[in-house]
Amino acid sequence: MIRILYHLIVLYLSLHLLWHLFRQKKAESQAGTALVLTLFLLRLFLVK
Amino acid sequence: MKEVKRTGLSAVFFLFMTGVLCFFSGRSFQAMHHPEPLYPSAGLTARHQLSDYFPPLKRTHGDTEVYIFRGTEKGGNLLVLGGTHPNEPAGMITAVLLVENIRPRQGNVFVVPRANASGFSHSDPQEGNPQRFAVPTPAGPRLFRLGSRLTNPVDQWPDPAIYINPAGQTLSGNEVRNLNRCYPGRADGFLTERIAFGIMELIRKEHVDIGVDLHESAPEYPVINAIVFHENSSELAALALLELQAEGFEIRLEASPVNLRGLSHREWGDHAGIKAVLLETPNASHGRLKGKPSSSLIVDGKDKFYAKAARLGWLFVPYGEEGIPLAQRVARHLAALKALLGGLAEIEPEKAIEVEGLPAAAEVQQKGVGAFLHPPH
Repeated sequence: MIRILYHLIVLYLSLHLLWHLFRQKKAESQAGTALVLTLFLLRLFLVK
Repeated sequence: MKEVKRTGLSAVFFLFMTGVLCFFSGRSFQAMHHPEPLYPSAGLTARHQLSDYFPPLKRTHGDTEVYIFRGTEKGGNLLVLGGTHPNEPAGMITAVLLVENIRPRQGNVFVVPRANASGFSHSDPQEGNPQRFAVPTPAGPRLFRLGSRLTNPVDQWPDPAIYINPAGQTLSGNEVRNLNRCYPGRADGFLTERIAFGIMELIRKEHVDIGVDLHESAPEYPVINAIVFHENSSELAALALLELQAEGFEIRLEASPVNLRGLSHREWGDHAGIKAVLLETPNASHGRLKGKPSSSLIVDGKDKFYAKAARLGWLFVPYGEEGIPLAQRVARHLAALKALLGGLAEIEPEKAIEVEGLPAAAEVQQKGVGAFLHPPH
Protein backbone atom coordinates (compact mmCIF):
# COMPACT_ATOMS: atom_id res chain seq x y z
CA MET A 1 0.00 0.00 0.00
CA ILE A 2 2.74 2.44 1.00
CA ARG A 3 4.63 1.63 -2.22
CA ILE A 4 1.55 2.54 -4.31
CA LEU A 5 1.25 5.79 -2.37
CA TYR A 6 4.95 6.47 -3.05
CA HIS A 7 4.46 5.86 -6.76
CA LEU A 8 1.42 8.14 -6.87
CA ILE A 9 3.33 10.96 -5.16
CA VAL A 10 6.32 10.63 -7.49
CA LEU A 11 4.01 10.37 -10.52
CA TYR A 12 2.18 13.53 -9.47
CA LEU A 13 5.45 15.43 -9.01
CA SER A 14 6.81 14.11 -12.33
CA LEU A 15 3.67 15.27 -14.18
CA HIS A 16 3.93 18.61 -12.41
CA LEU A 17 7.55 18.97 -13.58
CA LEU A 18 6.52 18.03 -17.11
CA TRP A 19 3.82 20.69 -17.08
CA HIS A 20 6.37 23.14 -15.68
CA LEU A 21 8.87 22.25 -18.45
CA PHE A 22 6.41 23.30 -21.14
CA ARG A 23 5.54 26.53 -19.33
CA GLN A 24 9.12 27.75 -18.75
CA LYS A 25 10.20 30.75 -20.81
CA LYS A 26 13.97 30.51 -20.29
CA ALA A 27 16.01 27.72 -21.84
CA GLU A 28 18.18 27.39 -18.71
CA SER A 29 15.05 26.94 -16.57
CA GLN A 30 13.83 24.28 -18.96
CA ALA A 31 17.22 22.55 -18.72
CA GLY A 32 17.06 22.65 -14.91
CA THR A 33 13.53 21.28 -14.92
CA ALA A 34 14.59 18.50 -17.30
CA LEU A 35 17.44 17.52 -14.96
CA VAL A 36 15.12 17.31 -11.95
CA LEU A 37 12.59 15.40 -14.04
CA THR A 38 15.30 12.83 -14.85
CA LEU A 39 15.76 12.10 -11.14
CA PHE A 40 12.02 11.81 -10.59
CA LEU A 41 11.56 9.46 -13.55
CA LEU A 42 14.35 7.19 -12.25
CA ARG A 43 12.60 7.17 -8.87
CA LEU A 44 9.23 6.52 -10.52
CA PHE A 45 10.54 3.39 -12.22
CA LEU A 46 12.56 2.38 -9.10
CA VAL A 47 15.85 2.47 -10.97
CA LYS A 48 18.52 2.47 -8.28
CA MET B 1 22.04 33.90 -21.22
CA LYS B 2 19.75 35.48 -23.70
CA GLU B 3 16.16 34.86 -22.84
CA VAL B 4 14.63 32.39 -25.21
CA LYS B 5 11.02 32.79 -26.06
CA ARG B 6 8.84 30.12 -24.61
CA THR B 7 8.50 27.46 -27.26
CA GLY B 8 7.15 23.97 -27.23
CA LEU B 9 10.03 23.01 -29.49
CA SER B 10 12.74 23.66 -26.86
CA ALA B 11 10.62 21.89 -24.23
CA VAL B 12 10.38 18.86 -26.50
CA PHE B 13 14.13 19.02 -27.01
CA PHE B 14 14.78 19.03 -23.24
CA LEU B 15 12.23 16.26 -22.77
CA PHE B 16 14.16 14.21 -25.32
CA MET B 17 17.39 14.96 -23.41
CA THR B 18 15.64 13.77 -20.22
CA GLY B 19 14.91 10.49 -21.99
CA VAL B 20 18.55 10.18 -23.10
CA LEU B 21 19.78 10.86 -19.55
CA CYS B 22 17.29 8.37 -18.09
CA PHE B 23 18.41 5.73 -20.58
CA PHE B 24 22.14 6.01 -19.93
CA SER B 25 21.95 6.55 -16.17
CA GLY B 26 19.29 3.83 -15.85
CA ARG B 27 21.48 1.41 -17.78
CA SER B 28 24.39 2.23 -15.48
CA PHE B 29 22.25 1.68 -12.35
CA GLN B 30 20.80 -1.56 -13.73
CA ALA B 31 24.30 -2.91 -14.48
CA MET B 32 24.92 -2.88 -10.72
CA HIS B 33 22.33 -5.66 -10.41
CA HIS B 34 24.48 -8.10 -12.42
CA PRO B 35 26.99 -10.00 -10.26
CA GLU B 36 30.53 -10.12 -11.58
CA PRO B 37 31.57 -13.63 -12.71
CA LEU B 38 33.67 -15.74 -10.35
CA TYR B 39 35.85 -18.63 -11.50
CA PRO B 40 35.89 -21.37 -8.83
CA SER B 41 38.94 -23.58 -8.37
CA ALA B 42 39.02 -27.26 -9.31
CA GLY B 43 38.31 -27.99 -5.64
CA LEU B 44 34.68 -26.85 -5.97
CA THR B 45 32.28 -29.72 -5.37
CA ALA B 46 28.94 -27.90 -5.56
CA ARG B 47 27.45 -24.46 -6.04
CA HIS B 48 24.20 -23.87 -4.23
CA GLN B 49 22.03 -20.84 -3.68
CA LEU B 50 21.09 -19.58 -0.23
CA SER B 51 17.49 -20.28 -1.28
CA ASP B 52 18.35 -24.00 -1.37
CA TYR B 53 18.62 -23.71 2.43
CA PHE B 54 15.73 -21.28 2.82
CA PRO B 55 13.35 -21.47 -0.20
CA PRO B 56 11.43 -18.18 0.43
CA LEU B 57 14.60 -16.36 -0.74
CA LYS B 58 14.21 -17.82 -4.23
CA ARG B 59 13.70 -15.19 -6.96
CA THR B 60 14.47 -12.35 -4.53
CA HIS B 61 17.50 -10.06 -4.67
CA GLY B 62 18.53 -11.56 -1.32
CA ASP B 63 19.40 -14.90 -2.89
CA THR B 64 23.12 -15.47 -3.27
CA GLU B 65 25.65 -18.15 -4.23
CA VAL B 66 27.10 -20.61 -1.74
CA TYR B 67 30.31 -22.24 -2.98
CA ILE B 68 30.94 -25.64 -1.42
CA PHE B 69 34.34 -27.31 -1.23
CA ARG B 70 34.27 -30.78 0.30
CA GLY B 71 37.51 -32.42 1.37
CA THR B 72 38.31 -36.08 0.82
CA GLU B 73 38.92 -36.67 4.53
CA LYS B 74 36.45 -36.18 7.36
CA GLY B 75 36.89 -33.04 9.40
CA GLY B 76 35.11 -29.89 10.50
CA ASN B 77 32.91 -27.48 8.54
CA LEU B 78 33.99 -23.90 7.96
CA LEU B 79 31.71 -21.08 6.78
CA VAL B 80 33.32 -17.91 5.40
CA LEU B 81 31.17 -14.88 4.69
CA GLY B 82 32.34 -12.00 2.50
CA GLY B 83 30.21 -9.06 1.43
CA THR B 84 28.07 -8.82 4.54
CA HIS B 85 28.81 -5.14 4.05
CA PRO B 86 29.43 -4.64 0.31
CA ASN B 87 31.28 -1.36 0.92
CA GLU B 88 34.07 -3.29 2.69
CA PRO B 89 35.91 -4.73 -0.30
CA ALA B 90 38.65 -6.77 1.44
CA GLY B 91 36.00 -9.09 2.92
CA MET B 92 34.46 -9.89 -0.44
CA ILE B 93 37.83 -10.12 -2.26
CA THR B 94 39.21 -12.52 0.37
CA ALA B 95 36.15 -14.74 -0.13
CA VAL B 96 36.68 -14.56 -3.92
CA LEU B 97 40.33 -15.59 -3.47
CA LEU B 98 39.14 -18.60 -1.49
CA VAL B 99 36.59 -19.55 -4.15
CA GLU B 100 39.18 -19.30 -6.93
CA ASN B 101 42.09 -21.04 -5.16
CA ILE B 102 41.28 -23.50 -2.40
CA ARG B 103 41.15 -27.29 -2.48
CA PRO B 104 40.25 -28.70 0.95
CA ARG B 105 41.89 -31.98 1.86
CA GLN B 106 40.19 -32.47 5.23
CA GLY B 107 36.82 -31.06 6.21
CA ASN B 108 34.44 -28.87 4.22
CA VAL B 109 34.48 -25.18 3.39
CA PHE B 110 31.39 -23.12 2.54
CA VAL B 111 32.06 -19.69 1.04
CA VAL B 112 29.45 -16.97 0.52
CA PRO B 113 31.31 -14.12 -1.21
CA ARG B 114 28.29 -11.79 -1.54
CA ALA B 115 26.34 -12.37 1.65
CA ASN B 116 24.12 -9.33 1.10
CA ALA B 117 23.63 -9.59 -2.67
CA SER B 118 21.09 -6.76 -2.65
CA GLY B 119 23.64 -4.41 -1.02
CA PHE B 120 25.94 -4.90 -4.03
CA SER B 121 23.29 -3.51 -6.39
CA HIS B 122 23.54 0.12 -5.24
CA SER B 123 25.94 2.61 -3.66
CA ASP B 124 25.74 4.60 -0.46
CA PRO B 125 23.96 7.87 -1.30
CA GLN B 126 25.93 11.14 -1.11
CA GLU B 127 29.28 9.38 -0.70
CA GLY B 128 30.53 9.88 -4.27
CA ASN B 129 31.84 6.33 -4.27
CA PRO B 130 32.78 4.69 -7.58
CA GLN B 131 30.40 1.95 -8.70
CA ARG B 132 33.33 -0.40 -9.25
CA PHE B 133 36.97 -0.84 -8.41
CA ALA B 134 39.61 -2.46 -10.58
CA VAL B 135 41.98 -5.09 -9.23
CA PRO B 136 45.00 -5.43 -11.53
CA THR B 137 45.80 -8.99 -12.62
CA PRO B 138 48.61 -10.10 -14.95
CA ALA B 139 46.02 -10.40 -17.76
CA GLY B 140 44.37 -7.01 -17.14
CA PRO B 141 42.13 -5.39 -14.54
CA ARG B 142 39.23 -7.26 -13.00
CA LEU B 143 36.25 -5.14 -11.99
CA PHE B 144 34.26 -5.64 -8.81
CA ARG B 145 31.25 -3.69 -7.61
CA LEU B 146 31.54 -1.47 -4.56
CA GLY B 147 28.12 -1.68 -2.96
CA SER B 148 26.46 -0.23 0.09
CA ARG B 149 26.54 -1.25 3.73
CA LEU B 150 22.76 -1.68 3.55
CA THR B 151 20.25 -3.62 1.47
CA ASN B 152 18.97 -1.73 -1.58
CA PRO B 153 15.82 0.22 -0.59
CA VAL B 154 14.29 -0.90 -3.89
CA ASP B 155 14.24 -4.38 -2.34
CA GLN B 156 13.26 -3.35 1.19
CA TRP B 157 11.35 -0.16 1.86
CA PRO B 158 10.36 1.80 3.90
CA ASP B 159 12.58 1.67 6.98
CA PRO B 160 10.82 1.86 10.34
CA ALA B 161 11.58 4.86 12.58
CA ILE B 162 13.00 2.52 15.19
CA TYR B 163 14.08 -1.03 14.48
CA ILE B 164 13.83 -3.79 17.05
CA ASN B 165 15.91 -6.62 15.63
CA PRO B 166 15.15 -10.36 15.97
CA ALA B 167 17.46 -10.54 19.00
CA GLY B 168 15.49 -7.78 20.74
CA GLN B 169 17.97 -4.89 20.37
CA THR B 170 16.56 -1.44 19.64
CA LEU B 171 18.39 0.28 16.79
CA SER B 172 17.94 3.23 14.47
CA GLY B 173 15.53 2.58 11.61
CA ASN B 174 17.95 2.09 8.72
CA GLU B 175 19.74 -0.75 10.55
CA VAL B 176 16.80 -2.87 9.43
CA ARG B 177 18.75 -3.16 6.14
CA ASN B 178 22.09 -3.99 7.80
CA LEU B 179 22.64 -7.76 7.55
CA ASN B 180 25.02 -7.70 10.51
CA ARG B 181 22.29 -6.40 12.82
CA CYS B 182 19.57 -8.80 11.70
CA TYR B 183 20.76 -12.15 13.10
CA PRO B 184 19.39 -14.67 13.89
CA GLY B 185 16.91 -13.48 11.31
CA ARG B 186 13.18 -13.95 10.91
CA ALA B 187 11.64 -16.45 8.49
CA ASP B 188 8.76 -14.08 7.75
CA GLY B 189 10.53 -10.76 8.35
CA PHE B 190 12.06 -8.05 6.18
CA LEU B 191 14.26 -9.21 3.28
CA THR B 192 17.49 -8.60 5.24
CA GLU B 193 16.12 -10.59 8.17
CA ARG B 194 15.23 -13.40 5.76
CA ILE B 195 18.79 -13.37 4.38
CA ALA B 196 20.09 -13.62 7.97
CA PHE B 197 17.65 -16.47 8.59
CA GLY B 198 18.86 -18.19 5.40
CA ILE B 199 22.46 -18.00 6.63
CA MET B 200 21.38 -19.48 9.98
CA GLU B 201 19.65 -22.29 8.06
CA LEU B 202 22.87 -22.92 6.11
CA ILE B 203 24.79 -23.09 9.40
CA ARG B 204 22.27 -25.52 10.90
CA LYS B 205 21.77 -27.77 7.87
CA GLU B 206 25.47 -28.07 6.99
CA HIS B 207 26.48 -28.51 10.66
CA VAL B 208 28.97 -25.67 10.49
CA ASP B 209 31.57 -25.76 13.29
CA ILE B 210 33.23 -22.40 12.78
CA GLY B 211 31.93 -19.27 11.05
CA VAL B 212 34.11 -16.36 9.97
CA ASP B 213 32.54 -13.07 8.90
CA LEU B 214 34.98 -10.83 6.96
CA HIS B 215 34.71 -7.09 7.42
CA GLU B 216 36.60 -3.79 7.20
CA SER B 217 36.35 -0.66 9.26
CA ALA B 218 37.47 2.95 9.12
CA PRO B 219 40.96 3.68 10.52
CA GLU B 220 39.43 6.02 13.12
CA TYR B 221 37.14 3.27 14.43
CA PRO B 222 38.43 1.53 17.58
CA VAL B 223 37.45 -2.04 16.59
CA ILE B 224 40.06 -2.48 13.89
CA ASN B 225 42.82 -4.94 13.03
CA ALA B 226 40.84 -7.13 15.31
CA ILE B 227 39.43 -10.57 15.87
CA VAL B 228 35.97 -10.21 17.42
CA PHE B 229 35.02 -13.50 19.01
CA HIS B 230 32.09 -15.14 20.73
CA GLU B 231 32.98 -16.37 24.24
CA ASN B 232 32.80 -19.97 23.01
CA SER B 233 35.71 -19.15 20.68
CA SER B 234 37.97 -17.36 23.15
CA GLU B 235 40.62 -20.13 23.23
CA LEU B 236 40.59 -20.36 19.44
CA ALA B 237 40.92 -16.57 19.07
CA ALA B 238 43.79 -16.48 21.58
CA LEU B 239 45.69 -19.20 19.69
CA ALA B 240 45.12 -17.37 16.39
CA LEU B 241 46.36 -14.12 17.97
CA LEU B 242 49.59 -15.77 19.09
CA GLU B 243 50.24 -17.20 15.64
CA LEU B 244 49.44 -13.91 13.91
CA GLN B 245 51.73 -11.96 16.21
CA ALA B 246 54.49 -14.51 15.58
CA GLU B 247 54.03 -13.82 11.87
CA GLY B 248 54.35 -10.09 12.46
CA PHE B 249 50.69 -9.05 12.24
CA GLU B 250 49.61 -6.59 14.90
CA ILE B 251 46.12 -7.65 15.85
CA ARG B 252 43.92 -7.33 18.90
CA LEU B 253 41.20 -9.44 20.44
CA GLU B 254 37.74 -8.03 21.06
CA ALA B 255 35.22 -10.08 22.99
CA SER B 256 31.74 -9.96 21.47
CA PRO B 257 29.65 -7.84 23.89
CA VAL B 258 26.78 -9.86 25.30
CA ASN B 259 24.43 -6.88 25.17
CA LEU B 260 25.17 -5.95 21.55
CA ARG B 261 22.69 -8.13 19.72
CA GLY B 262 21.99 -9.07 16.14
CA LEU B 263 25.63 -9.40 15.03
CA SER B 264 27.13 -12.54 13.52
CA HIS B 265 29.78 -12.98 16.24
CA ARG B 266 27.04 -12.93 18.88
CA GLU B 267 24.03 -14.69 17.36
CA TRP B 268 25.86 -17.44 15.43
CA GLY B 269 27.36 -18.52 18.73
CA ASP B 270 24.20 -18.06 20.82
CA HIS B 271 21.66 -19.56 18.38
CA ALA B 272 23.68 -22.14 16.45
CA GLY B 273 26.37 -22.91 19.02
CA ILE B 274 29.19 -22.57 16.50
CA LYS B 275 32.54 -20.88 17.01
CA ALA B 276 31.81 -17.39 15.70
CA VAL B 277 34.50 -14.94 14.68
CA LEU B 278 34.45 -11.59 12.88
CA LEU B 279 37.60 -10.08 11.37
CA GLU B 280 38.23 -6.37 10.79
CA THR B 281 40.90 -4.69 8.66
CA PRO B 282 41.49 -0.94 8.17
CA ASN B 283 40.01 0.58 5.02
CA ALA B 284 40.54 4.28 4.28
CA SER B 285 37.83 4.38 1.59
CA HIS B 286 35.36 3.46 4.30
CA GLY B 287 36.22 6.28 6.69
CA ARG B 288 35.03 9.84 7.26
CA LEU B 289 38.43 11.54 6.93
CA LYS B 290 39.22 10.37 3.41
CA GLY B 291 39.82 12.55 0.38
CA LYS B 292 38.29 11.87 -3.00
CA PRO B 293 36.79 8.35 -3.14
CA SER B 294 38.16 6.36 -6.06
CA SER B 295 39.05 2.89 -7.25
CA SER B 296 42.74 3.56 -6.48
CA LEU B 297 41.89 4.63 -2.91
CA ILE B 298 40.26 1.21 -2.43
CA VAL B 299 43.04 -0.80 -4.10
CA ASP B 300 46.18 1.22 -3.23
CA GLY B 301 44.78 2.53 0.05
CA LYS B 302 46.80 5.76 -0.06
CA ASP B 303 45.22 8.87 1.40
CA LYS B 304 47.13 11.97 2.50
CA PHE B 305 44.39 13.02 4.92
CA TYR B 306 44.55 9.71 6.76
CA ALA B 307 48.36 9.93 6.78
CA LYS B 308 48.02 13.35 8.44
CA ALA B 309 45.38 12.07 10.87
CA ALA B 310 47.80 9.28 11.87
CA ARG B 311 50.55 11.85 12.54
CA LEU B 312 48.10 13.73 14.76
CA GLY B 313 47.35 10.54 16.68
CA TRP B 314 43.71 10.38 15.66
CA LEU B 315 43.72 6.81 14.34
CA PHE B 316 43.69 3.37 15.90
CA VAL B 317 46.11 1.90 13.33
CA PRO B 318 49.47 3.06 11.96
CA TYR B 319 48.85 4.77 8.61
CA GLY B 320 51.80 6.12 6.64
CA GLU B 321 52.13 7.83 3.26
CA GLU B 322 52.30 4.35 1.67
CA GLY B 323 48.72 3.70 2.83
CA ILE B 324 47.16 0.33 3.57
CA PRO B 325 46.59 -1.39 0.22
CA LEU B 326 43.93 -3.98 -0.53
CA ALA B 327 46.66 -6.65 -0.82
CA GLN B 328 47.72 -6.00 2.77
CA ARG B 329 44.14 -6.06 4.05
CA VAL B 330 43.33 -9.29 2.20
CA ALA B 331 46.62 -10.84 3.37
CA ARG B 332 45.62 -10.01 6.93
CA HIS B 333 42.27 -11.80 6.50
CA LEU B 334 43.99 -14.81 4.91
CA ALA B 335 46.59 -15.00 7.66
CA ALA B 336 43.85 -14.82 10.30
CA LEU B 337 41.86 -17.57 8.57
CA LYS B 338 44.95 -19.79 8.44
CA ALA B 339 45.68 -19.08 12.10
CA LEU B 340 42.08 -19.89 13.08
CA LEU B 341 42.22 -23.21 11.21
CA GLY B 342 45.53 -23.99 12.91
CA GLY B 343 43.99 -23.20 16.30
CA LEU B 344 40.92 -25.33 15.57
CA ALA B 345 43.11 -28.33 14.66
CA GLU B 346 44.89 -27.91 17.99
CA ILE B 347 41.77 -27.53 20.14
CA GLU B 348 39.51 -30.05 18.37
CA PRO B 349 41.61 -32.35 16.15
CA GLU B 350 38.53 -34.31 15.03
CA LYS B 351 37.16 -31.08 13.51
CA ALA B 352 40.38 -30.07 11.79
CA ILE B 353 40.07 -28.41 8.40
CA GLU B 354 43.05 -28.66 6.10
CA VAL B 355 42.99 -26.53 2.98
CA GLU B 356 45.43 -26.61 0.09
CA GLY B 357 45.84 -23.70 -2.28
CA LEU B 358 45.09 -21.05 0.35
CA PRO B 359 47.17 -18.07 -0.86
CA ALA B 360 49.95 -17.28 1.60
CA ALA B 361 49.64 -13.85 3.23
CA ALA B 362 53.26 -12.92 2.49
CA GLU B 363 52.85 -13.80 -1.18
CA VAL B 364 49.62 -11.81 -1.48
CA GLN B 365 51.38 -8.78 0.03
CA GLN B 366 54.34 -9.21 -2.28
CA LYS B 367 52.61 -10.09 -5.58
CA GLY B 368 49.25 -8.38 -5.04
CA VAL B 369 45.74 -9.79 -4.94
CA GLY B 370 45.50 -9.98 -8.74
CA ALA B 371 48.21 -12.65 -8.92
CA PHE B 372 45.76 -15.05 -7.24
CA LEU B 373 42.66 -14.10 -9.21
CA HIS B 374 41.47 -15.78 -12.37
CA PRO B 375 42.21 -13.58 -15.41
CA PRO B 376 39.25 -11.47 -16.56
CA HIS B 377 37.27 -12.53 -19.63
